[in-house]
Amino acid sequence: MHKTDSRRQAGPAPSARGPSSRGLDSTQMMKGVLDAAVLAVVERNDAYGYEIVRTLREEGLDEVGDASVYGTLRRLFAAGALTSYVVPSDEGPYRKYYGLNRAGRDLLERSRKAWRGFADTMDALLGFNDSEEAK
Amino acid sequence: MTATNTTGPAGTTSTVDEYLQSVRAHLGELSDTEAAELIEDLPSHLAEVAASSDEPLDRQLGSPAAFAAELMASAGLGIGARGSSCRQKLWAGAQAVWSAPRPEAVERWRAELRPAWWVARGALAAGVVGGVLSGRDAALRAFPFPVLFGNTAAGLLLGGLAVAASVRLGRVASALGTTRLKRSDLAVSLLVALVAMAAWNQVHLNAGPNYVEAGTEPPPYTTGVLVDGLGNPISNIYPYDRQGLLLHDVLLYDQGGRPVVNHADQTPDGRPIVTTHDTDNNGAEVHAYPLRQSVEPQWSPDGPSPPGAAMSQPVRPPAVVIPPLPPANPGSNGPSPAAPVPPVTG
Repeated sequence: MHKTDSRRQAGPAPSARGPSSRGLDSTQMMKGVLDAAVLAVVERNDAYGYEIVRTLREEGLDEVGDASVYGTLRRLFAAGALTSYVVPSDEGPYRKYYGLNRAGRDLLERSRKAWRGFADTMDALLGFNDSEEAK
Repeated sequence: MTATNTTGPAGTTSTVDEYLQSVRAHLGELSDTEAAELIEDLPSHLAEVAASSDEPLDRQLGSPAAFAAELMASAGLGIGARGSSCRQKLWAGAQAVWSAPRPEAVERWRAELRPAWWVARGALAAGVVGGVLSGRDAALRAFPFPVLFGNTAAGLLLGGLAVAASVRLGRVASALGTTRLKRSDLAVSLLVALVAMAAWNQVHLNAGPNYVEAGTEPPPYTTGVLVDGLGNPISNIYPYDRQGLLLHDVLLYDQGGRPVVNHADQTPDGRPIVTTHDTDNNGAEVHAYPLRQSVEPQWSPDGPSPPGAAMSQPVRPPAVVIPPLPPANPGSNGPSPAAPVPPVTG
C-alpha cells in the first residue's frame, strides 16, 4: 500500500530542524524512542523520509532532526523491520517508501509495551498519580 | 529509475548538490557501499527541504558535517556506533582529541600563530631546497639567508616565492576548508618540518673536521694480565743471574708485596697455555718462575702432523742475550749502584 504522489499540504510547511534549539534534555530522551515513533508513523501508512519527518513534527516532536530520522530508517531497514520500494515521482527525484513487515510489527508491539511500562514508572516517580499526591 | 538531479526552483539545484556532496564527504569513514545506501533518499529529501523555504539548507538542516554525524549515529554506523576494530578506535580517538573543543584562549593563540607558521614554512622550504642545490658550504656561509646555486639574491627570490605560496596555501585551506585541501596543507607542513629537521641534523653532524684516531692500537688484553711495553702478553718470566745462569723456583713480588701471578694464559695467536703450579704446604698454588708450561704447537701448513704431534708440548726457555757484566761482589744483598740490574731480553 502506498500513497500516490500528491504532496500533503498540512498548513505551513514545518521548518526542517537541525540540532536541537530547545536544550539537550528532550533531544536525548527522544533519541531513545525515535525507533518506536518512526515505526508507529509507518504503521499508519507507508511513507517516505521527508513525509515521516513532517508527520513526527506535526504530531508534536518538533525537535526531531532530519538526519536522525533518516539514520533511524536505514537502521531499522538494515535490521529487517522495514520493507522499502521506490516510486518514481513526476516532480523529480524518485522517492523511497518504507513500510512495516512482520518483524517490524512485532518490534512496534514490543516497543508499545516497553513504553507503557517506562511511562508508568516515570509517572509514578514524577508524581503524576493522584493517589501519590494525596499522601 | 528517475535521475537523481533535482529540478526544484531555479537556484536550488547547485545548493542541494553542494550540500549532498559535503555530507557525502563527511561520511569518509564508511565504506562506499554503506555511504551510498545511507544517502540514497537524500537528494529528494534535500530538494523538498530546499523547496519548502527560502532559507539556505545550512540554516534549515545544520552544517553538512553535523548532518552527516547525526546520520551515522542514528543509523548505527561509523566509529563508536558499532563494534569497531582497534585501528578504527585509535583513529576515532585521535580525531576526538584533535577536534575536541579547545579553550578560547588556545584557539585565539593558534589562530594568531598560524600565519607565522606559514611564513616560517615557506622560508624553511626555500632554505632547504636552496641549500641542497647550492652545496652545504655555500648555504652555511650565507646563513641565515637562503641561497640558490650559491647566489643570495636568487635565494631571497626563491624564499619570497616559497613564503607567498605557503601563505596562500594556508589561507585557502583554512578558509575554504575542504577536507582534501586541509589534508594537503597539513601534509606540506609535516613534510617541510621533517625535511628541515633532517637537514639541520645533517649539517650539524658533518660540520666539524673529522678527527682520525691516532696512536697505537689498544693492547689486546684488558686489565689484569701482564703485558710488555708494546702490549704483548707476558706468559712466563725467566730469571737469570749475572753469570747467565737460569734461576729456578724464583718467587716474584711487586712493589706492594703482592706475588706476581697474572701472567697470560694463552699465546698471542690464541693457543691456550697450560701451567703446572707447585702447591705450598696449605695446598695453595705457588707461582714459581719460570713457570712449567705446555702449549699446543702451531698448525703447520705443510700437511697433517704426525700422530701425537697435536699434543701439548712443554714450553722451552727462550734464547736470551746476557750483556757482559763484571761479576757481582760475593754476599751483596742488592744490585750495586755501579751496575744496574740488566733487563731480561729474548
